Amino acid sequence: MKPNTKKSGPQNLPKAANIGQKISLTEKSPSFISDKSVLLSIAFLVVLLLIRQTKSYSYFYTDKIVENYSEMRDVRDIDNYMDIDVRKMLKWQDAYRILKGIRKVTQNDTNFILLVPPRSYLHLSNKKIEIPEPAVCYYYASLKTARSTSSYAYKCSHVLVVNNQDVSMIKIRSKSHIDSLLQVYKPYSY
Amino acid sequence: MGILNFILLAIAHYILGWGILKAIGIRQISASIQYTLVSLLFGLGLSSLLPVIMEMLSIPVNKMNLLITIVLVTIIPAFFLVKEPRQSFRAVMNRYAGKFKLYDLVFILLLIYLLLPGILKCVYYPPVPRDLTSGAEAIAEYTLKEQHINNSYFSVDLSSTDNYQKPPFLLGLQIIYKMYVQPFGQVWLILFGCVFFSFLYVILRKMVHPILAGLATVLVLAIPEFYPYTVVLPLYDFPNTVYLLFGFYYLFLFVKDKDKQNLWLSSVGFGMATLVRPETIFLLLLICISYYISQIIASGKVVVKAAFFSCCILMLTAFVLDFFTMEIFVKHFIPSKLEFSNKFTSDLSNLAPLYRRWELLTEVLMFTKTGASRDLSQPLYAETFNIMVVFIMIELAFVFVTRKIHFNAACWFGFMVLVFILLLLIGYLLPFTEFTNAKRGLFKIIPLIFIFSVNTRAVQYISQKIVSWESGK
Repeated sequence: MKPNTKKSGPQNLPKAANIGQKISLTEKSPSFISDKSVLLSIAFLVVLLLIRQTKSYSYFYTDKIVENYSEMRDVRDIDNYMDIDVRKMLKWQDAYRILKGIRKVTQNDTNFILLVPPRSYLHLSNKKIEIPEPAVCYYYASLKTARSTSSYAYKCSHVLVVNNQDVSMIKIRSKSHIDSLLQVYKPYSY
Repeated sequence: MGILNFILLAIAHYILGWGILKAIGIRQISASIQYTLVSLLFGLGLSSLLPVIMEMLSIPVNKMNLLITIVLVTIIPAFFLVKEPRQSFRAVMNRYAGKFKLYDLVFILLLIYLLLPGILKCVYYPPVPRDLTSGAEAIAEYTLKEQHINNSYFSVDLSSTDNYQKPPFLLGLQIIYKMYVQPFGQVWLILFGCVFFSFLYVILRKMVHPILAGLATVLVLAIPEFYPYTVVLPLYDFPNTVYLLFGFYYLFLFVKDKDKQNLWLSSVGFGMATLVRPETIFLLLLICISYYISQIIASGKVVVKAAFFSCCILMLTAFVLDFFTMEIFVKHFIPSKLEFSNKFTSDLSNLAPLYRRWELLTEVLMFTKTGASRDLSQPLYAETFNIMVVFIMIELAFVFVTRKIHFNAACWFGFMVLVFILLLLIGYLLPFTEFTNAKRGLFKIIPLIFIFSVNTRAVQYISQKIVSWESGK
């Protein structure tokens, strides 16, 4: 659009169009605290308080600020709250505890690789356990795992099975055993 | 020890970043808040490449070797920094004393209050995002144990993830910060968060009265979906947003005054953004095409040589960094099997993904009434996009009445449009991209919305009134 030199509209608009180019917003003025800077500071806070009353910003303030402060206060009540393992447990929860537990009982088995069945298969049990993907398992607990959909499945030495609503770990006997397990997992998904 | 190392690393980043600015010929970079912030984050981005370079040279990535590398790359800029003619502390203080007012202090205290809970969570908890724990963080963990980036992590079943093939930006920073600062690494994000909000405030303060600048900065911070990624969850999108802001800001200055220094700064900003997310290259192409066309229209010539060279400079850093990290490091030093080109759409005539992406961006994310937040009742971005629409309408009314386009507002509006086109194009060209990609992709546009808003004539008018009232004129 080409600029039009004709003046039109309310008188103050052409003046407003040039704003920001003539004034210096950073020019020095004498004092850090003046009556006007106090008034402007109060106005700034009042406007923010009004914004905070609106539904979406009140949600932000409660959910992200108040709750986070309260969460960080609460963790101090936990025994050894600065311990790295406690902090991991708080965030990664059951998955971390289960993987650490499996790692502990199998740490001497250098060939140990766990076949993790699909999530919906594991949910047939009462415990509804959640095992993360293999890369995360290795990060959490140095535990090598594989999914049934991967070719790594044939390298696995153990598998999680659901028996009578319970989950247990058994040793894989042979390649044909893996084949039969993979057939069982086919209707399920991760 | 962790805090001391954190401070020392921040100083090392600053020196390295200062060296970059000096190398590209930036004048007056000492004792300036704006350039200090830019130096810090440019240095942080380059530092992420140090473990990568060590791996490529087959140097074991351990504490001693990494320390020597950091010292080696900072010693030359440090030498020049020491030699730099120095203003006295009093002169620097005098320069800022008159400009710093009570409301600036109020804003800083408020910023600390709002960022602190996020910072505490970042320091206390281990990393949670899957993108990190199944990729960069897991590789970094085993790099510390085995002294090589190509480590036992790659012996695991990786069929469920491609996160190890992402740019090594997070990986490098995780290695450095896990090694020297704290076991979870991620605290480098605190630098990003603090620098981003400070930089935004500093540049907004140059455009409008400080209380309006503070208000806009707080509105950026108070976006429920955005806040966690600024100081709690270390992922790619927020650092990308920060570097894009640098790139856009200096591009804006270059377009305005044609100072080559700003073009180089913009090039480095966009280059760093590409280092974090390679698809930024598409955005750069869009920017260059738009800039080139605008120059042709302005000069009336078919070929504008200067505009072509400016575009080349703008693309240079991005191409160099992208080639180094993705084409050389990820392709040849990471045991990867995935071909990125396989992810591109093979059927360009199929516009359905483009339409789906449009719907996802506008109806589901930007202007939703129900939102997609955790409790399914709050918009993810609070009122940000409504604010954007209101200011666009007001500025259009000004254009309609005055028959004049305000350059600053038009420029930032153009940047917003380009980012939006990029987000649409990504959904079209890479149809595999999912909901979270669009959700976090919108981060790029957030600071631009508020910079555009403060540059509209309505806000400029209010700002001038406040300045006049305060100065008693």
